[in-house]
Amino acid sequence: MQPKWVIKLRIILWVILAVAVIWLLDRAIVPSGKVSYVYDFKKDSRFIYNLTPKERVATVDGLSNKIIGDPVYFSLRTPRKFETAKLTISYQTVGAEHCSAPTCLPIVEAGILADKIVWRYDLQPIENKIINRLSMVWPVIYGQDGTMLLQRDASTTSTGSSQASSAQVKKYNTIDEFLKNLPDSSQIAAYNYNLKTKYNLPDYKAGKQENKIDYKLRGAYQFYTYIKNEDLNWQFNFSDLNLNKDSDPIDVNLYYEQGLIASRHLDDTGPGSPSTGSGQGDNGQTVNRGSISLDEANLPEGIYRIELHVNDDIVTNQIITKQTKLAFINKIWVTGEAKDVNLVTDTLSVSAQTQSPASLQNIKIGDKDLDLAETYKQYSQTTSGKITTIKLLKADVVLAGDGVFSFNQESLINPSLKKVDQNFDLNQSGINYIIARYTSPQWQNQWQVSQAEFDLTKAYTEFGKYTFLISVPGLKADDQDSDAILLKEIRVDLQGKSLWQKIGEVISKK
Amino acid sequence: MKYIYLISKELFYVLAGAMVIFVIMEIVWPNIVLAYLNLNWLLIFWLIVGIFILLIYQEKTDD
Repeated sequence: MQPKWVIKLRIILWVILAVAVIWLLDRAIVPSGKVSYVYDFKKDSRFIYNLTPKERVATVDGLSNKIIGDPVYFSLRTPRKFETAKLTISYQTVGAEHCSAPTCLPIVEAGILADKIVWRYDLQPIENKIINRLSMVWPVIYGQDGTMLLQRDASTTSTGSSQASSAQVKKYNTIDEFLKNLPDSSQIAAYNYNLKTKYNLPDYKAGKQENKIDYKLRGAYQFYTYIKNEDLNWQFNFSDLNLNKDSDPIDVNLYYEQGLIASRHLDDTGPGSPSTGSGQGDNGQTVNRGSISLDEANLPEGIYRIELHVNDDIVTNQIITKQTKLAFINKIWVTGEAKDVNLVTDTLSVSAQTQSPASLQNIKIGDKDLDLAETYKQYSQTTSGKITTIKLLKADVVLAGDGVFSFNQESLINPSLKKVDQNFDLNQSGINYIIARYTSPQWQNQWQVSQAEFDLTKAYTEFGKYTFLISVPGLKADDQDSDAILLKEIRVDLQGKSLWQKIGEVISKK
Repeated sequence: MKYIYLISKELFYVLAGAMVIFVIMEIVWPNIVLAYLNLNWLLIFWLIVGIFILLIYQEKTDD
């Protein structure tokens, strides 16, 4: 027979264990559906992980919180599923005394990984110094959901071409009025705002003959095309390099006015595919993957976007089309043995990178040279802002920029509005209106505090972890400048269904 | 000595229970425990208590 005090002690110890288990379950289930995690860089967080890669993060007073290169990443581990994440960043821009405010690190954005196959991040603004500065000079109308409309004030001093345009600036009293009666799209710039504008080519005539593009294109891409009184007709031929271990499915998606209207899919049946069984990875042998035809009839006149959603193992060997317009959006990776590849672009700043030592070269961008001296390093060159030619001596170079790329000037089209980003030049652009969904950061004790909200239901998650990005275009770790973004704190407020809502859902389903 | 032996024994049992429950919880719901508690430390503490009990038990039987 045990003494009474032993029984009491036993009960107390097991009650403590039970309380610990309940506390852990409460932390994991988050019954209220709301939880906040904070990382102040002083102590490791259980949920928000360190900034990576290390080469782009400097240590200040023992804290790894100084971003010196663009971009940096961090992961967020959540105990269960949530629907939205509100990211709050407290930061300072430091070491930027050598340049004026709107031109020095003008943009800070945060993003969440939405698609791992094409490494697409859903980006949200943290700070836009160009809009901050303009909103002090131009009249601003604020709308709902953080929407703002800036209108050029005809009385403000301006230079060059913008003086002429300022005389014709129509004044709007509300954002609704602006949206219902849009000015010419050449006068509008947008930032974090999806403005629907009509894009028509009055002189366009449908092509009659088949066009073949025999340049090999590696990985994912998307392009604009245009149709008028003709069928949409595209054929793509693919091969698979089988270099990575993942399955390599191929998807071609057709979008009209931001909506998906058609898609084609090609399963990976070769090495590394799910059908060949687990454990058998890609073997490095290039195989033919056949072709996909995208034929659609009776489509209205207008601009269409076609997206090839694949990983970097997939090479498009040939594109055959009857359409005459073909403009690759933001990125093109011409690969293979091709020599003397000529492209045109309307991008304001072209960046180039290669993985192949054989493709190191001097790229001619307009009348400027861009020396591609090292592999896996991104080089940039600004353009005149008009249509610029790019001459590659050898292929296997990834070209990227904020505009479009094409193989000839006749097929170049770009329906996108000008974006208020690091390449934005107000004096040259003739912009009279800026529409944005943006809220300026708040000052709190010498720190700027900004928030961005993300939809977690559309984000990519692996092992309960989300990948976030902080992007500061123009910030380079390997330059001589001391400019940087110093972080004080990263806070994530998560919101999802409460336990009671979840129980209610389960009951209502039954 | 008897009191310490009894207390240690109770502690050993509850730590053993905690280990089993926490490991099962980790298997069913990864990171539910490890986010807050390093199970290695719990295992070490449990072993120390176990060894301590064995030593006391030996002294008790020697007496």
